[in-house]
Amino acid sequence: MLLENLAAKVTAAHSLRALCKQLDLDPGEIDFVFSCSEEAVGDRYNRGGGNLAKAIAEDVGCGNASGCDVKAFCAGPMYAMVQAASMIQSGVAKRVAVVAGGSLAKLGMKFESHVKKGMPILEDMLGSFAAILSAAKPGQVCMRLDSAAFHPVRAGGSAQAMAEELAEKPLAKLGMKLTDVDRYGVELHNPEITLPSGSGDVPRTNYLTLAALAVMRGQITKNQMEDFVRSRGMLGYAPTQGHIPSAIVYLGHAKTALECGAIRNALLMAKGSLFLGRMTQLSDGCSFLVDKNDV
Amino acid sequence: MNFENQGVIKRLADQYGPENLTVVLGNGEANGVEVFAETVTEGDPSFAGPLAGVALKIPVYHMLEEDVMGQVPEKLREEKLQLSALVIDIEPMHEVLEASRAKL
Amino acid sequence: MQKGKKIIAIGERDGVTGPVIAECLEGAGYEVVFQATECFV
Repeated sequence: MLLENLAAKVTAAHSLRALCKQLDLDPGEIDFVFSCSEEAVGDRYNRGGGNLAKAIAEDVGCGNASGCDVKAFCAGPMYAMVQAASMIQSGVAKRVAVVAGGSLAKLGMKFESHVKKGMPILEDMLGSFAAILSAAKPGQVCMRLDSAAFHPVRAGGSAQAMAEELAEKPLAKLGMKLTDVDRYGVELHNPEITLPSGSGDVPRTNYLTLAALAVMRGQITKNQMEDFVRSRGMLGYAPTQGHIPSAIVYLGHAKTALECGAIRNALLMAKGSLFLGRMTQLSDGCSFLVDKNDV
Repeated sequence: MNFENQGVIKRLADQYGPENLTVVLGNGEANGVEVFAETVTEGDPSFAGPLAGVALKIPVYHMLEEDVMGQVPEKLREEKLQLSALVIDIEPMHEVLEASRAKL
Repeated sequence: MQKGKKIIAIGERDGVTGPVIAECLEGAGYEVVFQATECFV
């Protein structure tokens, strides 16, 4: 367990350190760090006590920051982003880092299926990420806090309910239809890894669900579904690290695509399988739109 | 199929008798359905779970197979299954599950 | 599918979930003795 926690800490710190270097940013400029890693820091008497964020902040040299953890299964990163943005919007902080380290436990999670088919153990990679948020200047790529959506308790866990709560409704609030989104970033697990282990093509199923909802709402026809998937979706490419593939892995690419004008907007949506924790039968999710701050 | 669910199925088979049970799946795609079917008919093919080496011979269906979906009242079917019916390609799953049921 | 059998519903988060299978089959007159939803990733 200590090794798992360490793996999460070190990989998250690596990402944040690399990002600061990339931005030529002094880590001391960061006010707060959210960690949304999948781990449980603490021993028998304080299992899950957490605040791996502060350990990461210390490791990277964010001397002026404190931090805390956001835990929400695979939707953790998306929640952390919303919380980070909210802190900035409300003036509580100016520059907030959101980081997640890799999940050691998920390495070789389904190794038997791969080895049985004569493949190497494909789940061989830890994933981690870091994002740094601050108030968006005019023209900059930004997170739309007015699009932040959650999946309420009463909604039920069906695939349809998830798509309604995380895509249809928040878009409708902005006067948008499902077809007004140029790109959806969903759970982007690499199907080359998941198909041989019988876990299916997760991104494709997610995109088909969005397309099906668009059909039901009369926005596209049934035979336009594949086109919807192809033009507004993408092939999965992330390692099966749980929270890392869950939408957040597309954020950097979305930023680049927005900056060069390849897309006008992107909706990132992640789901969390809370039922796996046995405290509830519910599913969960969180989403938000990114576009350019044209205000 | 995850080990916890295998364990519950085994317990329910002991409680009710496997001949009184039917498993209905909701898999989003065909990939993996065969393994699920085998798990509750011949036993866990990975030989790792509670149903390893336990051949329950319980018939397996998918919610969207005509035989199953057709029994659901129309209003409920429209409300709950319409989207899934658009997303899920039932044909390949139906073939796999028919073959599994034929072996019982 | 034979009527009168007790149903074990094993749903999938991105497919048809356990609670939805249970609700549909209860509506069809079956007794659902167990329902669960699996998540493959």
